[in-house]
Amino acid sequence: MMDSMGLNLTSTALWTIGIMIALYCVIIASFGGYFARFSKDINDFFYSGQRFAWWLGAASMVATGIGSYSYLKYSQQGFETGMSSAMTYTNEWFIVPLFLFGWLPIIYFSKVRSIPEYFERRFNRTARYISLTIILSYMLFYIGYNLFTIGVAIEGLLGIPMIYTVPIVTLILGGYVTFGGQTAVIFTDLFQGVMLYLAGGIAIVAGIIALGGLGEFWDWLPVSHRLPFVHLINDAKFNTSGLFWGEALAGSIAFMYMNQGFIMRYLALKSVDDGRKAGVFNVLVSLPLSAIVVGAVGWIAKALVTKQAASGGMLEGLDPIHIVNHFHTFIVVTWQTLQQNSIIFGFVIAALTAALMSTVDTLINACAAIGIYDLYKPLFKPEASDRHYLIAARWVSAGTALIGLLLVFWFSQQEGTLMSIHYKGIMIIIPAIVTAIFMGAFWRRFNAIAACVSMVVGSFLTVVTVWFPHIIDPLSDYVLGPKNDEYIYMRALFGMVVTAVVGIIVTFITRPDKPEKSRGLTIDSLDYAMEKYKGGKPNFAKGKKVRRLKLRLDENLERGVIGLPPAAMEQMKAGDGDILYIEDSRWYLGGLRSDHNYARTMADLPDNEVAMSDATRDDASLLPDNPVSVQKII
Amino acid sequence: METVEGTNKWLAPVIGVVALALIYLLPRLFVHWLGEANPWTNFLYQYGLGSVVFGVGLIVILRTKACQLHRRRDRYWFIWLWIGFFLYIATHAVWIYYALTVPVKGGN
Repeated sequence: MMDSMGLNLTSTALWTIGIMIALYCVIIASFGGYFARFSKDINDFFYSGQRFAWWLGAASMVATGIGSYSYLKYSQQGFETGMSSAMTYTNEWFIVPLFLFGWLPIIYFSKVRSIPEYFERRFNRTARYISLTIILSYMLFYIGYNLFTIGVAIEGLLGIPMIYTVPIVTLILGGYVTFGGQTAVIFTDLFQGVMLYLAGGIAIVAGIIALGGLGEFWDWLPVSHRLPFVHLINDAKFNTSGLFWGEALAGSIAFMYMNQGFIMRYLALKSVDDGRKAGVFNVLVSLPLSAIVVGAVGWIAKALVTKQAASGGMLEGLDPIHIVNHFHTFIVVTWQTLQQNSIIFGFVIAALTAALMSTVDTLINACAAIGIYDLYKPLFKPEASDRHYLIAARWVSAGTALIGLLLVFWFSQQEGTLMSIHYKGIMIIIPAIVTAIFMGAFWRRFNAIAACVSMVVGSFLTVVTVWFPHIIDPLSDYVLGPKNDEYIYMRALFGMVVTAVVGIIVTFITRPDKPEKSRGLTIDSLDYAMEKYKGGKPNFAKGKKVRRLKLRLDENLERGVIGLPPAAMEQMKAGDGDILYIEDSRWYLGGLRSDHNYARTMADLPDNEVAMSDATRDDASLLPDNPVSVQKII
Repeated sequence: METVEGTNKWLAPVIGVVALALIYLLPRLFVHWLGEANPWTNFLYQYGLGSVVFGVGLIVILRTKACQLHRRRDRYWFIWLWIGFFLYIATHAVWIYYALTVPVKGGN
């Protein structure tokens, strides 16, 4: 017998859980390896060639948004403060208008590969490398933090020191991301998203049954734990005012506008419209569901403990539940409510590992994208073959995984709870960059000097508040936030305000950049961005998708051009030169076999056929005998 | 194609000043009205200030013509923006109502 995290695990249970995790990792690695074949060039490797359907992007975002730390952190928060743990997942809507109509079309139509690249095109190279430093810090922080938390969980559960487990997990992760690329990441995340919900659902259902039903759960939950919002300012580390400014604004902007992993998800979709669908679905459906999946065990734990205390210290059919360390709430309660069934529990823990893998794989892939497009290509090897960049990208992925691994040792030296380490770090890193992104995208007058100065000064002053927190007092007072020395979220507001003020002042005392520098890269020049993207006037006429067309090979057509009969062109309301999206008719492939091409009317083509060269067919991975669907994009 | 030129140079500063005033006044008004510990104060804090941010966002996308309501797809997504906003408000309001009104067995 072994006592770890308060669980009395037999050696059989330990082996069962260990085997479940190992089995899961092997399945995921094989799954990712299969989809590696769809990465033909560097664009496929990172962005999957802008071809996937919205639902595939939205589903894979679920797994990206839930990290291994989520279950542990939010269950702990749920146990301590109740359903308000869902606040961070349900307060994003306020910034959605500017994302859907501003930032998403800007990055999609301008075809930027990374946020630092946007900074160079919008401002200058200095801005690019300042933003690169901040964004890499953000992503490496997340990679290290995820690896660290899974190490902590496995160490406590299986008794194996993280020095052995984390390198193995990193090796597996590095393996399939390094060889799979974005397509592998999207498809493994789709699978893992389902597993995450399934595992979380099992833990929740087991808890509800243990309590005696949903009614009992609600009845035994104290009012303080039922409410969707925590007290306005009482708790220095978790309060409504701080969460609004730090999480709903700074944190959400960072996740939606800056997180390279999410940005690449949107850039992998077939159109801006699909990006909007994925974004809306993510905020309206996935995030609230995720909040329940990661936090509900904590809420159930509170109801269980309350009922247990009222029932004389023990509930029928359950061992007494003692949560000594709240960080272990999820593991302790799930183990008990699953009646110590090591197979089902092993599956739930494997899903915890999945949460880690799906978040870290996205971040590793994103770091590799930045490493290639922002460092290696512009600075070391501007002109090389796709094959060369693909090999380099795989090395960068492996290097990123290694840095993440090294960061684990740094995290293990830190003091304080995991939650405080997490937010203290993130709220220092993000304010300056999210403000610069916002001002760059939504204010044309904001110039390169202002962007550089404001990011450097903003970041510096935000770091300074770690030692001099009183600087934040007046601002916190202004928004009626908490006034103490333990600012976490208010530090982000401070950073954003300082960056904005410096940015505005420097903008007005310096000369504006040339107008053509920002054309297509700001919200007020989107028509130009669309025209540039298409290479001609955008066609907004609303047409219908043409389904089940047969492929006809015609080597007279140039690569990237497809010929369509007049009837099909009329149905789509498309004209010659419009950008069309062609895909395998099987919807469930989600665009795995698809591509964008230019339209050409071919009057002599039968109504049920589409013509293209073999090279165009091969680029789209279309199968010669399978029917295809075609729709107009722009 | 040219970028959209601002037609009223005072609009942005005026919106900025109004937003700053609302950010200062609204929380104080809610606390004065309901008290710091009232669950509805938190609700109003989030959605009061959230409305300011949301409203500024809508003004920006309309003024810059990033959202052109005569285009069908733009109109469609613009409606969704409102649906999502009110869906969140309604969900949180109903949630608080039931949290406060259903009796608790184990004490508050």
